[in-house]
Amino acid sequence: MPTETQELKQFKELLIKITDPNESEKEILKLYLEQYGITIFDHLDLVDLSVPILEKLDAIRILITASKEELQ
Amino acid sequence: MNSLNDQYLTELFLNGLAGLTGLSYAHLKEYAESNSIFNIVDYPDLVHPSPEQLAKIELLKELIKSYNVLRTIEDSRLVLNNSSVVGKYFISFLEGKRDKEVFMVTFLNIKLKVIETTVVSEGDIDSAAVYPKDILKRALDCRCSSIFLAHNHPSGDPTPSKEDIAITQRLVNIFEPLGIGVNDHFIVGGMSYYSLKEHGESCFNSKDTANYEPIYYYRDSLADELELEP
Repeated sequence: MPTETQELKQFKELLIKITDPNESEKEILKLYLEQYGITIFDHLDLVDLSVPILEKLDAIRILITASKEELQ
Repeated sequence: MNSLNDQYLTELFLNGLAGLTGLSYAHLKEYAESNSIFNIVDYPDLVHPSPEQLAKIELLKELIKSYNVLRTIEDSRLVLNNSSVVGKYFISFLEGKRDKEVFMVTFLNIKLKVIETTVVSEGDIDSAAVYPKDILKRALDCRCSSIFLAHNHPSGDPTPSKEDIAITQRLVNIFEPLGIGVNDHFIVGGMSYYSLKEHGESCFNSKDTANYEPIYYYRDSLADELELEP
């Protein structure tokens, strides 16, 4: 069973892989992930990235919210 | 107006989803007109994805699962947001330690939720040593926002010595400049605790340069007898 640190590392890697940013945006996204962790979706208004990446992040936020509601 | 707004938000969502999955916007829109779009994560075959698109949907599913695991961990963390709760928390760890001094640190996130509580030093009945570098390394590793300090007095009397206050000051001098708050230092004696913060001790503002050398401390009465310099 992965530890919390491993799980968080995996989450960050998956998020970067799935949003597929270019090299410079990847570095910026990594910094935001370091700062916010899984709460990055609560801070999208503060995230300075291109519209396509923001749209992808927002779509993930909506899917996560829907999945949370389903869990509850 | 609301309907226009909803339509716009739906378009943004479908654009984002198209970018994530590789499925076309038109395809997703068509599916969403008569179905719940959220189905595609759990039942991707409904939108007939190519192998590449399916792999991306599987990744998305994995990401949501990982998020939910991390969110569950976060939600289940204990919140230490008042002295009484924290005092009882440390009593539960330290109350039975009558034969030795044990020094503990709790690392907290910005919402005062416990990331980890760890014993950083175990001494004998009279003394122990604390290694600030080890505490700092752990604090940086777990990216905490603040810490609580705690140790016990095997004598059962939680009254702090001058040395307890000096140790707190030493650690504040290390952590405060790095933006890691030292919230309080609790001393447990039997089933009682003493909160240095609650009693207004003036050791919670950085006053000197950081000193990372090990801190050796002695039980309160012995320290006073020896007039030890912290």
